[in-house]
Amino acid sequence: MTGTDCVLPRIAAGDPAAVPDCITRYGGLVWSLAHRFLGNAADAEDAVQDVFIELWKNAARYDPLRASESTYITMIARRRLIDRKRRAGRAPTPQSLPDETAAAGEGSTRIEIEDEAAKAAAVLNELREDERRVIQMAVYQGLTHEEIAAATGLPVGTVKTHIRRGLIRVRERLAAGGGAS
Amino acid sequence: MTSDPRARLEELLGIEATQGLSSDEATELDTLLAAFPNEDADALELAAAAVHLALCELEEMPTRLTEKLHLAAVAFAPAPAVPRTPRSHPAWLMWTGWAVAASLAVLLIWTQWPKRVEVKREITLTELRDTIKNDAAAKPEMFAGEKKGISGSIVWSDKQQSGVLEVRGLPPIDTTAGTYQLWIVDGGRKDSEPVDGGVFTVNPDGSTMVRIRAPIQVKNAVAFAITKEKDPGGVVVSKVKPENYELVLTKKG
Repeated sequence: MTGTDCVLPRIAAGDPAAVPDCITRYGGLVWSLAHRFLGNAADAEDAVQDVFIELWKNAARYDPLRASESTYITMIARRRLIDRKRRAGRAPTPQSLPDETAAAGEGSTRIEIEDEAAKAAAVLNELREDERRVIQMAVYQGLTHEEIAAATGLPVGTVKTHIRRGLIRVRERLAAGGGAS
Repeated sequence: MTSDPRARLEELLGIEATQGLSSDEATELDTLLAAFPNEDADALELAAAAVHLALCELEEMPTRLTEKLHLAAVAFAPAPAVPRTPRSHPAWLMWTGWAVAASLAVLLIWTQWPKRVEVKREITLTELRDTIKNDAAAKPEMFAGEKKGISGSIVWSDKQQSGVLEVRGLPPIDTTAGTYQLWIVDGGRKDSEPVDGGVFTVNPDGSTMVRIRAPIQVKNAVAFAITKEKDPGGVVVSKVKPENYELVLTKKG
């Protein structure tokens, strides 16, 4: 998606049609993140509303040159979700929710999101197995470093190192155009 | 914990990106970022976001939540703005727009429009509905909604400023104690405020057919909402929370 196709700059410019467009394009993405991360539909609904309001209010902060819109929106959503989880005392841990096959978002936007996801997945697969595993547990399952250490038998310091190095490598590879499908 | 400031900065950014920081850690990170002004503070969060995007399976957002967001979107009037500090938006502030819009709408109704939506014989409304629906020049748009046994549909034309609401399953209401009220969500208004669509009652079987005529120009109807108001004549300010709306009708097709 090019910068001119993005909805956040349009919201920042005061285009009233951009706000509903933002919901249509990214509602499925933000809902999916919240639903799976929090594991509770009611909490997820509240979180989704918080995320969108923050996106709309701070739309001018998005820089298309730094990240794709879907990655940026995922980052903002993650911040909110992590904050909610911390305030809730980190309970409960996200559960495995039943897979749902319904489409999310407009067709073209879904393809763009999936394209971004495919690039990131390719970069993720370039990581060492232990780094990839730890990052998946931290990012997707939302486990603390201590929980990951307990689950894997790795020292906490090693978990932190794997996460830090792995994320730096992901960022570098994506910035260099890695993972292009 | 490492004693090397640079390594500690990266460690804190990694913690922030995956599990969030305590207030002490956040303060420490701010201090370190000030000491390393060229450090990209969001880099690892963006990397974590990319990883999450790669692993996330997309689901469809629940219809109820979609409707809530669209109503919140209408209350949110975007304007060219400088970046502001990210603080949560109080719910009461979002719905202040409803109050202002309802006040304006009622004022206009009071001076220019009959207080009650005119209910004509059903056949006339059926004909009107079909006329609008089949008139391509009127650019008719269809809206529909369903909630707990209540369903409704609307055909509306921005061009003609006219439409018909059909609803089923609304519990009959004691007209001395309250009424149903229709609201038009106009995406074309600069202030993005909803417009009062009038008050109505339903038949004993919970159904009704009502002609909709906006008291002020509706540029781009994007949704309709039905509330139950305790005032028999309708209200100036609806205190009904969105989650308690009787029905929300969104655009179809």
